[in-house]
Amino acid sequence: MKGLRQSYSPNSSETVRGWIFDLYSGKTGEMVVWVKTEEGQCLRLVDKWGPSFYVSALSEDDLTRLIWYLPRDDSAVKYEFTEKFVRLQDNERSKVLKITTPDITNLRSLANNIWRLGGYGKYRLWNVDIPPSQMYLYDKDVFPMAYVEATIIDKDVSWKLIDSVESVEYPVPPLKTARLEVNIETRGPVPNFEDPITKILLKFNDETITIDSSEERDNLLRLTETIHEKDPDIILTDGGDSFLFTYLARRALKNDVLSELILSRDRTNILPVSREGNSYFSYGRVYYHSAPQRLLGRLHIDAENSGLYAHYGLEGLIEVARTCHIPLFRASRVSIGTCMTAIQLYQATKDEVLIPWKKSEPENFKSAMDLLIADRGGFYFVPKVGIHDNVGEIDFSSMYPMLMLKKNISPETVGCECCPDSANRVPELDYNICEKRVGIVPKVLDLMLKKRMYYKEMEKAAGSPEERMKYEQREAAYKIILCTCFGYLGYRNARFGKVDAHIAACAFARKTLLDTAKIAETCGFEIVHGIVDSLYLKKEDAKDQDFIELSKEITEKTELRISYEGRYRWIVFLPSKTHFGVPVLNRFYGVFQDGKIKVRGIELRRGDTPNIVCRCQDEVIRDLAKAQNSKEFLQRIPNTFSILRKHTNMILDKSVNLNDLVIEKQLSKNPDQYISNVHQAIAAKQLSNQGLEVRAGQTVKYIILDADNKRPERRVAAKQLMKPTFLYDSEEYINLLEDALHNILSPFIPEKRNLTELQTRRVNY
Amino acid sequence: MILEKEIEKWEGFVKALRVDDKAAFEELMNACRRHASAAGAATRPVVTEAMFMSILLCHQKALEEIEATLERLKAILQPK
Repeated sequence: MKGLRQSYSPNSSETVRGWIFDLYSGKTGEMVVWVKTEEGQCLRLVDKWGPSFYVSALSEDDLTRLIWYLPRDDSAVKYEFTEKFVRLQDNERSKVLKITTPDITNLRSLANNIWRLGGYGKYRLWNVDIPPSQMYLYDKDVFPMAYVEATIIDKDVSWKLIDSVESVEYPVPPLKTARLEVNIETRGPVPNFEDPITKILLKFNDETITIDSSEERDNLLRLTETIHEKDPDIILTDGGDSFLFTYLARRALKNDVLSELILSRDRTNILPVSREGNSYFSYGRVYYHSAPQRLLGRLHIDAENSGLYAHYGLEGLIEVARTCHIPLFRASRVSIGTCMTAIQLYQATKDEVLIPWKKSEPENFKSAMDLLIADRGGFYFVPKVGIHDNVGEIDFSSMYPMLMLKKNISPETVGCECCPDSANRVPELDYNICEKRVGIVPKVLDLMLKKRMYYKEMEKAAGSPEERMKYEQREAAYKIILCTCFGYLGYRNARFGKVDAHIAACAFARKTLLDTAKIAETCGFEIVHGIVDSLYLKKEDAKDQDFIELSKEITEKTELRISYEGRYRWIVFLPSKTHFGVPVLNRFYGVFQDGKIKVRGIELRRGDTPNIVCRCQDEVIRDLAKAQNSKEFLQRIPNTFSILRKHTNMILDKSVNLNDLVIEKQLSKNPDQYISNVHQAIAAKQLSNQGLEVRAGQTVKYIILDADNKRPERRVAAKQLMKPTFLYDSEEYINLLEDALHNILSPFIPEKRNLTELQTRRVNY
Repeated sequence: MILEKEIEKWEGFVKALRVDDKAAFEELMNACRRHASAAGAATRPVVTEAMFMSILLCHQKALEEIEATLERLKAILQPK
């Protein structure tokens, strides 16, 4: 194509310096690595490399015999004996067979053959299912966005790392970002592949390029030209994975320019068929991920499908990729648990420990009584329902990761065979913990905890908003990773997980909270509420200094850092909605001395609450926040009725924008699997009927039109099908408003009907 | 939740109660709910043991409160 720049590949014996930006498997036996130079160029380096895996057996003879059974005609497959630690807990290396193959397909079929040859058990296989790009990084001991010097010798690349994974102040090259937006001439209620393109917008930091030729074909060709001319490193989209790129490819196919629609740096096409995404179940919820769209050599971030990017931005993404040794693109799409696993796999490779393919790490035998004692989570003190004055909050910083680090909790250390009489024992359960070596989990946590601590400090000391944001995003990334590290110990699919280690971490956490409560009570504090790693305490006339002194004492005695979060003017702990007067965890709101409001577990924090309800509840809490103590709080309650009235009147006047009434719910099933006509199922079926792909785990947005209509399809309308003329169900929305207000005032107004009666001047509807 | 499952098992008992007794029963169960964390920490294989202990604890606290009120009233009513 005219004007299309060829990507530059350095010649043999040339040395280049820059940052590793992207990498992936190229042709058989090749790894393609894109290096971003200081001059801003992006270079394509090709390294001759093939992945390896390992086979172990009870005897060396078994391995020797195995070679004879395997294909010898393929010169690209190499066999060699080497010594590795087969299991994490091994003290000595064992002789294993290393098999290097040119590519991953070859590796998997060979691995399956060996598994079959050994009757599914005689041969144990290792390092089989690690993504090749990740294995390459481990093998070469480099990491994404690392500053490196690469020397090209024949078809090999030799890497020299001029960077450190431990570094906290590292330069990041300026990355050019383009936001891609496509305007579609939508003929139906939702866009589909048959609708033509009207306009394409490419938004850069300093300019916006509009492509709006009357010919669709020209628009597509100009898009390709502009992308190659401007050469952005990152392309941001909304729905690039689920719709946009497949749509562009379909339009290109229709206009006979599919082969010319090249948006990657590697001159690869986009496929006009979208790959099926996947729904998965996690912590009681079903989630959906579209299959990712790669633009090789560039980083495509889809705001709708890169959940974690929204949490920690580009700085956080780079930090995760660097520390966890996981390519940027992969880090932008996978779960944080996968990132956590990646760093453990790197640590294992570095320590010469093999990574199990088919994990068989059974749980140690336990009697029913042992299980009853062991299989428990963190401890909590149920909150005292109602309003409390002058409550201080103290939280342990990264309690579980710190315990895992300090107590050396890891799958191979808990209940190890080498130190049965270890002095380091798990409370309540008396499991021994290894004293001779540091576990793999504490090893990786050490670096992450140090980095998080550093970024937290730097965030406070930052001189400019940009600097603050940089540290904030990096810190946020570790916050999420460190939250998952404990759960992964007990996750059955975790590569290095063992439920006994998970149990041990919980036992230490319970002991720590109980010890802390004892210290607080000895100092005269009353425990209003406590949950896993934080305590809400009160003492008459206690000042900030009293809480700070207490925190110091706790830190000293428990050897874990506890921080004083602040003192509440007042805090309200809410009761259960089903059992009045019975406290529930994590449902409260309160105001700190500096006026900062903290709310947990109420409508305002929930993703499925319509805006109008959020705004009403927020206004009520802001008004109550003007109260300096519980006495003033109670005096302000009548004000809340007028706020409620204001919002109910808006609903009755039909002056509410329909967007403010939208309810967002996650689907737990595919639309056709719903038996009952719950609102989200009706909305999902409406979308399905319009030809939209709706799957379990996706969210649907809808408004309530007539909740009691006999015809279910008339009860709600999916947001995409909403028309400005639609009339919403006022009664239903007013009900939601009243529920939201009653929820936060329930300790003072036990019955919802009392609330209704108290609104003396309430408009009749 | 184990506690709620155990309460469900008492359904027959509840059905046979009169209205005011049902309210008292529900209050006893709320006492168990309020002490669910401590009951869990007791790790009793028989759940009702921990439930009865929670109820006893509530009764003990109520007794102490009644005694204290009685003492206060006595002090007020006793002729000086």
